[in-house]
Amino acid sequence: MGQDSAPRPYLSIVLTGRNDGYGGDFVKRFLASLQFNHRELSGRGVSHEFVLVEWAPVAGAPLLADLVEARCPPPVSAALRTVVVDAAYHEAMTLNPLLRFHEYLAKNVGVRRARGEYILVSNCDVILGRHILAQLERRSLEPQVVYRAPRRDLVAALDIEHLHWEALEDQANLARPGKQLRPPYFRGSTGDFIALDQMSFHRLRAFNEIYRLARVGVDANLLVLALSSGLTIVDIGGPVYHIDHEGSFQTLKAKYVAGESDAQHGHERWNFNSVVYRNRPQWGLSDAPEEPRGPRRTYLQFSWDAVPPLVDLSGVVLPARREDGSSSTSADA
Amino acid sequence: MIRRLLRGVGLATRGEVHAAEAKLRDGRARLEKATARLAEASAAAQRAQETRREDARRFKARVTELESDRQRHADRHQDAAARASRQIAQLTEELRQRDRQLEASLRQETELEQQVASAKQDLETARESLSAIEVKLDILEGAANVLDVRTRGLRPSRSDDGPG
Repeated sequence: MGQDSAPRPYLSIVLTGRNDGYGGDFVKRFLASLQFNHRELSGRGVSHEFVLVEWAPVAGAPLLADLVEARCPPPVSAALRTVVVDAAYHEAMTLNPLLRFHEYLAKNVGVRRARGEYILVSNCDVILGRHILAQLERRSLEPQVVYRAPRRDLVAALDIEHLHWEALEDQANLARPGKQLRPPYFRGSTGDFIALDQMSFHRLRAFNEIYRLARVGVDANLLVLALSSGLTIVDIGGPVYHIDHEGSFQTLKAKYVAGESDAQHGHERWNFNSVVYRNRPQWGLSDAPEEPRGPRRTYLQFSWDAVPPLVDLSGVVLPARREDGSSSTSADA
Repeated sequence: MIRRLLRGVGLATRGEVHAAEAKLRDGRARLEKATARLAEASAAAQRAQETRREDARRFKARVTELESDRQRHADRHQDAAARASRQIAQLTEELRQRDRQLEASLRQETELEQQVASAKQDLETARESLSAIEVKLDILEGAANVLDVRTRGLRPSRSDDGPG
């Protein structure tokens, strides 16, 4: 992937998406949060890159990468690298034909290729809070620690194109009361903020690529794996912000409550709390042929050689119990 | 003079005789009184002696009775002590036996607790294995569905089936 010779940034922010109109004007929300986060990080001297993985682009529609790059100010574009993943990978890898977007397979593609000392896996419409930015500015993140942050949902009526701290931090703009993260896993909107040093992320082999039937729970499943692998999980101490929109999991959850099998987020009640996984060494489509398409864009061409087996039951693993009652991954189930 | 003369021959006057007779009577009377008092005293002494003898007899009898009571009590206490000793020995033995039973129960309880802990562990392991099996079944079911869709996609259309 391009930019390998560039200095290694302190932080890689891995984001995923595509131009499918997810949640209304997805591009507008993405651009707003991208620019805000870039401005705040740059202002604090935090070297960073955004790794956008465009998973299974919609046929016939413009690429999200094109739309973003066209509307992004040059300094933001310079910090953005995109990986476009051939849609055939989705078809080849999915185990749930109802699932339209394998968010965590996409995120693994980004994690695998992120160059930062630390990797933050987040979402395109998530805005970093002031406390998190201060931590990054101080470079106070530690290796082998998974950092989590609670999410504050803000009302959809907020003017996303003119974001400022007063609006973000105004309690009156909260769409619902914020939830506190609780140990040991500090779960809750996990996919919006998981930060970990690159080496530990690679040691875990990122998110579950064995159970490819759901979007829900895959992020929490990583936390179970992390804890059982001896990593520490902490609340970083301040929130991220997210502006409510149509199609978010919060709204879809109510919509699909009667028929889970139809939910586009896949199974909600799989055993992500009690079973972990061991991905293949080739996780994150590492063997996919990469075709450079510009200075900061890579296209992953489809190859069956890069596709993991449809079924890999040896990768379904139980967390082994320790003396203190917690668990660590070991034996095959 | 006459009196002196009479005395000289050993005679006394009537007066003197009367006086002597009176003295004699007094003496006799005193003697009788003394004799009577002596008799009374003797009788009283006899009675007192009898009383003392009677008291002594009663005392002795009482002593004998008390001695007998004491002996009876002593015997009873000795019997009671012997019975108590036997009971103590019996109770001590029962206590030892109960101690042994208690120890056996405690051992049994410990063994049961270990068995329960082991069963819980087995149950937890079984639950975990079941969770893993459910995940595997999900995967297999998903794979089957996907392969089904792919296979149907490969099915030749009617026009490809050949002539007719």
